[in-house]
Amino acid sequence: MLKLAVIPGAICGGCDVALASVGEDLLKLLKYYEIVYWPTVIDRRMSELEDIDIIDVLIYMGGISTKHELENAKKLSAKSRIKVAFGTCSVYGGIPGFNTLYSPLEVENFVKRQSTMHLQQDRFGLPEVVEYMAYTDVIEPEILIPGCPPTEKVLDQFVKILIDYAQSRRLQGRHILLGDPESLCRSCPRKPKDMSKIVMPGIKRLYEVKLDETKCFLEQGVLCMGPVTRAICNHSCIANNFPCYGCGGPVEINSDSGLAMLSALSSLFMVDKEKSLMETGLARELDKVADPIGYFFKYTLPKSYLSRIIKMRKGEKSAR
Amino acid sequence: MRLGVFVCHCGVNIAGTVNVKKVVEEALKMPGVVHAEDYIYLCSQPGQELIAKAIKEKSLDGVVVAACAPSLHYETFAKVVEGAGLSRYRYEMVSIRELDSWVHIDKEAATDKAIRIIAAAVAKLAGDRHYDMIKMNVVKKLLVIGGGIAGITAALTAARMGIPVVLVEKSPTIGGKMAMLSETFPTLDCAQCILTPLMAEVARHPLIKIYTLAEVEDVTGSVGNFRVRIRVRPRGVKVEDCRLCGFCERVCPVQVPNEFNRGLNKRKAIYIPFPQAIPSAYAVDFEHCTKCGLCLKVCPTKAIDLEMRSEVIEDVVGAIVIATGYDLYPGSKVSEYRYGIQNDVIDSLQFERILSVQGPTRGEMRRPSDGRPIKRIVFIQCVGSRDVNHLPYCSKVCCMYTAKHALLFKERVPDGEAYVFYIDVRASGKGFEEFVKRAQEEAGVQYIKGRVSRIYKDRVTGDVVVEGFDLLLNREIVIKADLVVLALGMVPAIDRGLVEKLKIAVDQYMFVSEVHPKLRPVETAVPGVFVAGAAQGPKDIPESIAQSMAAAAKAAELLLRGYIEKEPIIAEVDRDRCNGCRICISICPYDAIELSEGRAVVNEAKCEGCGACTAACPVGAIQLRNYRNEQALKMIEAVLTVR
Amino acid sequence: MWRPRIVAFFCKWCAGAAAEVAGVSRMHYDPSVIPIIVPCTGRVSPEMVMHAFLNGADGVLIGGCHTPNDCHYIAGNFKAFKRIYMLRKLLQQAGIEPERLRIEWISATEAVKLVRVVNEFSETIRRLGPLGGKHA
Repeated sequence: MLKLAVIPGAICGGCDVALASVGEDLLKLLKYYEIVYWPTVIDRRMSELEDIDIIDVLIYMGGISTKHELENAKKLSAKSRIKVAFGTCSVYGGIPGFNTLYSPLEVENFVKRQSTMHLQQDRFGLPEVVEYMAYTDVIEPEILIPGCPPTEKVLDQFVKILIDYAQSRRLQGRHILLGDPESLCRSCPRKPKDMSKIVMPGIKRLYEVKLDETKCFLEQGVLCMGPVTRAICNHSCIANNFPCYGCGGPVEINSDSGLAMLSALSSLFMVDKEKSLMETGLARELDKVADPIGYFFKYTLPKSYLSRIIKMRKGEKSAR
Repeated sequence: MRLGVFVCHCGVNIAGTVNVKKVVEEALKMPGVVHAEDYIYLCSQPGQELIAKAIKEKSLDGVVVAACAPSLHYETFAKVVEGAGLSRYRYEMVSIRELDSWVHIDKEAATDKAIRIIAAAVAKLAGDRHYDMIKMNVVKKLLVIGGGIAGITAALTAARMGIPVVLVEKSPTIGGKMAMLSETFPTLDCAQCILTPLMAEVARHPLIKIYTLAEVEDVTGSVGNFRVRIRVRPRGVKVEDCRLCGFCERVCPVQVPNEFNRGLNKRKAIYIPFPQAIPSAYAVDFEHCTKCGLCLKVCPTKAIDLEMRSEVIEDVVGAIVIATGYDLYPGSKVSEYRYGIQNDVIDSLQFERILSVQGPTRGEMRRPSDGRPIKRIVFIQCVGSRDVNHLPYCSKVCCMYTAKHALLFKERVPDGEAYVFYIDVRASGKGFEEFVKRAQEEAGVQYIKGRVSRIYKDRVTGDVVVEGFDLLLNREIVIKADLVVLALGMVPAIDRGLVEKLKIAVDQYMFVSEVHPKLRPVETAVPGVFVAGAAQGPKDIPESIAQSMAAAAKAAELLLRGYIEKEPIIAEVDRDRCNGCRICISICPYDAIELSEGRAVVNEAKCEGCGACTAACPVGAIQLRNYRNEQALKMIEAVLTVR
Repeated sequence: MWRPRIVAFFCKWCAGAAAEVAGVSRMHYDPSVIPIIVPCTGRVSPEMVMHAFLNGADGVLIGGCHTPNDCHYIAGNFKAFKRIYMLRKLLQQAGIEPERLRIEWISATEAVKLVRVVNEFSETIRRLGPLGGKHA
């Protein structure tokens, strides 16, 4: 029996729910794998992992924000055959990636202002905060599963890979990024049949528009990260009248999708009105994007040019 | 990769400030560079030979020349490189003179900068690929849209050069507005006498095909290969059988306002606009024809066919000239003047019809409402023009034709009184100033500087009362006239749909925009589409003719060659990476990208190589050749990190 | 001694041509700016700008044709403006001085303006100091 461990880093719990929601297919895995650690589902101690020499499959969920998580990740990964970066936080940093805008000291001080637990130093110690990073900044995993959380689509892929590995003891490929190697626009149900041009009429918040459920979001002025986001899902948000927020990360692992979307959107924005609005009019409309970091880099900030420049500025070593 | 870097001293122009030896030393360290040397004058014969020799002896597969500005010698070295068997696209030239040695005093800084500039060029060169020139066939045929004097001139100019022409005209005859004119300024030539021989020549010319009652319905394709769809409305009369006997006209029971006489009289539902119309045939106005069939009974040649249907003509042309002309600004919009035939307040073209011996009054000076002889006439210039409430611009020709109108009136009614209300008198052409002076001094036309605030008809006397202000005498003035003529502004007549189909730029008034008033006055931003005449802006007949000849000549430039060769440095799509997001097609200024089977593809003929798509593509699928994203990033790295 | 490192993207039709005229006229200006000629400012992507900053640029200058009508490729300058506007907002939000990224319209006849802008911008960057990292 192969040993499979699910290790939580800085998590929200969503990835646990997603993995557990695989449901009956998990039982298929149990034919080949023994789950040696997964706090959500089984009752084992972290200390029990000390006694295991080799972990066959290590599923790491979440990012890394404390010294303990960093050391744990390194230690356990070193003795794992197949490392899996599970979930967008693990692969790209995810939403907690906003931490990269602040130093560990600033984060610590923020937490101290919010909570009183640390005052009971003898009972609860605050963990030592490190510069936030994705799991992929520490080691190079064999399998990467983006998604916040990973979707049915990629989890199906994952289960097949695990079964195949268990049977053949070989992985088909190195650094396998799950999901389809295309953006969501490729098969988007809201793309018009005649593939006509997009005329983007300004920027509208969701509550400002009565959405036409069959039309492309960009055509209605609603921002959608579909053009830069890897197709890890079956357009679950988009088909349910909610624009994509880019939780699947970039189409290709090393692209800065946030910057690409910033460029694509700025280029496309009100192309038909450029000469009548001129710079001042365009700027006024563009100001409606009140939080560019939050919108374009919601899931991928630690991997972005921006983050690396901020780090460079602070004089720290670049994360990658 | 075997790259060569050649650094020019340009005498002391570069070498006096930049340490060229140091530059060569550093260039040899750059990735891919196997050869670097400096020379005193690279553009000289020995300099060029030096480059050719190095390419051959060192088997170089790429060359950077660092010297003066590419605008001077890019071609020079491109030919050297090609002569030595290398592709010109595997050659880059950078200025270390205009952009460096000539603008800096600090020698160390200038040398450092030269090295960095060259490093960027080397980085770009490493990714450059060869491409073949794009050769496109040109269909030797010209489409002229509009059959007025501009269209006629363009058609004849082209046809005389051996180019087949398709001339499309909306109304039943060619001739345009000029056919309505009585005489033209400043020579007072009879307009018809100049125009009708040209119209006849167009009709006769074996290379010109005229479609009247026709409009361009659709245009697709691009320069050299425009696919046009022309809708020809039914004439109801077979042109080759019509003998112009006029029997049909006599028996037709329907009367409608005659548009050639601008409503001053009526015509029948089967009519000929004017006797010298081309095609020389009658036409049925199907909008008003009652299909009573009386005309069918009297036509001796059975030329009439009331069941005629509209036809669609599809053709392919290599170039297009837009000569759609002008209309007058609607007089009703200037409500203070009570424009209307019944009020005896008419426009300048209507007055031309009154002046014309073929017009509704046979040239007699009688006013339209009641036929009363015109003894006192008031002309008002700048009606609608130079007015923030209507047209802010000047319509250019009105001062001259008003002087002409007043002069001609006085010739026919020597004891009559003519008044002209003006703001300025613009008489800028040859003989124009003298012509206006003639009207003022010899003919005794009274010029009043001031505006008219109100016009109304006196019900009792039948006079048209004009209330205005005389600025020079600083007093109000009231004139009781027989007729008032408004010099209404000139507006372009082009159809908005056509503008959209051709994708040409128009200004806020709908005049067609030329690319550059001095450098490219008859070309539109769409390659292969030219403009001539009043469609481009208010102008008189000599200017329209000159511009039309220019447009035809520019069109001939590409039509007579037979093919167009285009630089291949355009965008191209990696169709595997493209997701069909439609962002590139939405921003391309030339509409040069299409979607085929869900993925983008670049139209070689239309792409101009600006690279906007390359920077916008969310996944980097579309790239500008030889300026791909990875090249740009390498250039930037090289500039910053080479030392 | 630290010297500002500035990368400039000049379009070949306007700002690049102005730079050439400045050279022909022997106008002197600050050598801190290294020019890269692009066919149109519309070719400049935010990635190129950020790549410059990451690789040691302390400032990035973009020179293009005047809006609304001077762009040789019709509206590339508008694309550049919109992208740079957004990018500056991003930088500001991240605590990086947006003044380090400047976009100017300089026509082929405005060599004087080019010289002024280059000198001004070099001085601005000098005042702001190095962006950071090992190049500082």
